[in-house]
Amino acid sequence: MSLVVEFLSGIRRFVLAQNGEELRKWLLVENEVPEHYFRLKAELKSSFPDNGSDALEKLVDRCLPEEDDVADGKGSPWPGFNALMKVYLEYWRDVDFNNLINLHASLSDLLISCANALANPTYGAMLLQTSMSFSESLSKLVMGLTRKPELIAQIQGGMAGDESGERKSIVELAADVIQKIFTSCLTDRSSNRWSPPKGKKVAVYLFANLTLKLLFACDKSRLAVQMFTNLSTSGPALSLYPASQRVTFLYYLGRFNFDYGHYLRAHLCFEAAYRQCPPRFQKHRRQILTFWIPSNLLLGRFPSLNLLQRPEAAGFHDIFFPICAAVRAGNFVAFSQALAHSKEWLWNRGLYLTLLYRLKPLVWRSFSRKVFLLTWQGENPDGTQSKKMAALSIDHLVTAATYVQKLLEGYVPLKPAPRARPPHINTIFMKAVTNSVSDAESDSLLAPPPGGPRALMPSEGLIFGNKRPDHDNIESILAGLIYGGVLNGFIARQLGLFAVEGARKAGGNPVLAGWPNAYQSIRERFNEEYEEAAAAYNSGESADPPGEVDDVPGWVQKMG
Amino acid sequence: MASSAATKDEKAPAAADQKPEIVTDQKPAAALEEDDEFEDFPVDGTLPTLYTTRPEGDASPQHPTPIPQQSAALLTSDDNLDWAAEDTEAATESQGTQHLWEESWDDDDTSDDFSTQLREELKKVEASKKR
Repeated sequence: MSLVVEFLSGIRRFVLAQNGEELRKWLLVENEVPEHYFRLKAELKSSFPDNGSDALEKLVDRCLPEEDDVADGKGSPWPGFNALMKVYLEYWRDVDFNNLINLHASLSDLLISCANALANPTYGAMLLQTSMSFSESLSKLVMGLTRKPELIAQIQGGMAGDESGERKSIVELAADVIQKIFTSCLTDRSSNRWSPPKGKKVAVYLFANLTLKLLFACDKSRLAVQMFTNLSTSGPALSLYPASQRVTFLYYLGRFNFDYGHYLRAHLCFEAAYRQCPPRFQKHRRQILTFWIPSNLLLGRFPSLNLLQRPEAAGFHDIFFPICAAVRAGNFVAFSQALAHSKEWLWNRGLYLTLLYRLKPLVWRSFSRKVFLLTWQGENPDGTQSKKMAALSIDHLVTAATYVQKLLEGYVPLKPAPRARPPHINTIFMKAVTNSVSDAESDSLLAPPPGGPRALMPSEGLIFGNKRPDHDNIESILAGLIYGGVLNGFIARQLGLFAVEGARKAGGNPVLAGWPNAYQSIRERFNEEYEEAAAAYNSGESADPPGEVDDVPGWVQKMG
Repeated sequence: MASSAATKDEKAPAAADQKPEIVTDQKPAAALEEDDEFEDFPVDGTLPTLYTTRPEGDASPQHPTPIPQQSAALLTSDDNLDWAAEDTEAATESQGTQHLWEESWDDDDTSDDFSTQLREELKKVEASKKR
């Protein structure tokens, strides 16, 4: 008997027994296989050459006839399965593991065929394991290919665009097929959303995670939107699935929300992922922390020493502590130094620009707070409490910001640091030194560096590159902070002041009143947004109910 | 037929058993593993090895590295990838989670160098305005 027939007879036995695990073990696609797969290949080449004949199809149908009477718990070949087997045999006949372009094409065809066969509502489920292994092989190949632009160009060049002329990337195409399998699992009717999964539903999150892994490895996370939407609409509760699948899914959902600037949702996902991941999985916990800590920084919370001392956080203290210290001090120079210090690590994880731009408001908050502490005179000269409204002069803030901008541009102190100045220095001599610099700069403690101020990149300057902060810049920054809820008060434009509100309520402490706790005010801002959305829904202005304030779309938690 | 099918049947798992060794050989060179991927959780104590790649500069054909197809196996051994809630942080919440984050970090100290410089600068600029 020919090897092909023998092979198909073996397959038939597993199909009749609905043995998905054996099917996977037999339907191998990678090159490290027992030698008889290569004998099978040789036989296919000689007996069924690629010449347009339908002999192979006929052989498959002869070896895998549809069963008439199928007992309970038994299976039968179905047309989609036979189509898959034909593609599978063609795959082995034609495959050349040294030709990645052809390998990619045939493996894609094979997975599409498998997805079609899996869609069969009666017997499709026996192909779950095989679908998983094909999907993994294709993902792996695609991830490898994305690091080889010259091959990608060849593959994409050979592909026809769709009707709109738009070409999908190979990552997108592979993700599409895996998502098709995911959808098959999602729509399986063997169990509902809120009961333990049965049938193909058991694999919903396995395929979701596989798709997410592929998309994130190739920087295409935005393509996950549709999947999260489908899960929100009809996905089974995540809590019904094994812990490793839950943790993996929540990690990627957190990354997704982080990438799209929703740090509260990102935090909720990472928190749940971290807390469900036992300490023995240190690498996984570390990977979660890598993004969980930045999510919290952006929400106004710093990692505690307790957290930074955990084994999975090794080395994180050096990265995050200087950043936190700079935010705390409102020190822009230290802030840019702290980020520069860990630039490569942060950049490789997509964190550098996010922290640079999104943490700046918190540095401004601390900076304005510091200038207020330095300039506000809450007491009358006789020591009694001033009745004046607590306020920060915008001009003072401009002066302080200009000073910082000069530091960023490399300006140097005109004279030794004030504290180091011995008291007996001749003031006339000091005056002479001061007068020796150009008039334009003589009002400052700083002088331009030899060779002139450093040219700053847009992101390196306080406002934009070498732009000197002016009244309007500072006023708009304050307005932004007030709108974001991290400053409490209003801008009195005529007076050129930021006026603190609620000092009396805060026990007469204008600092506490004007600069409320950063984390709490950011959370409060989320609540306000939620209440606005709820009000819009209740008044009929918006068609969509906002859900709960801590809902994360795509994370199916409770009965809707 | 039955006998040769049985032989094949035996060979497939045997081949699977050998695979981890091949992967182990390549492991030290797989720099990609350095921290930047969320690995699959291990099954049965084996190391997660999916998606390991050949080292840069390896001239051999870049076909996929053979790997045990773990996730597929997971479908039939769910027990292996679930773990009890007692193992996790969620179970020991009272012991530590509230110490993970610092919410109150505002700094009222104005005696540091940066504050001192700012204060001097503000004084100087104010004074020059009055001149």
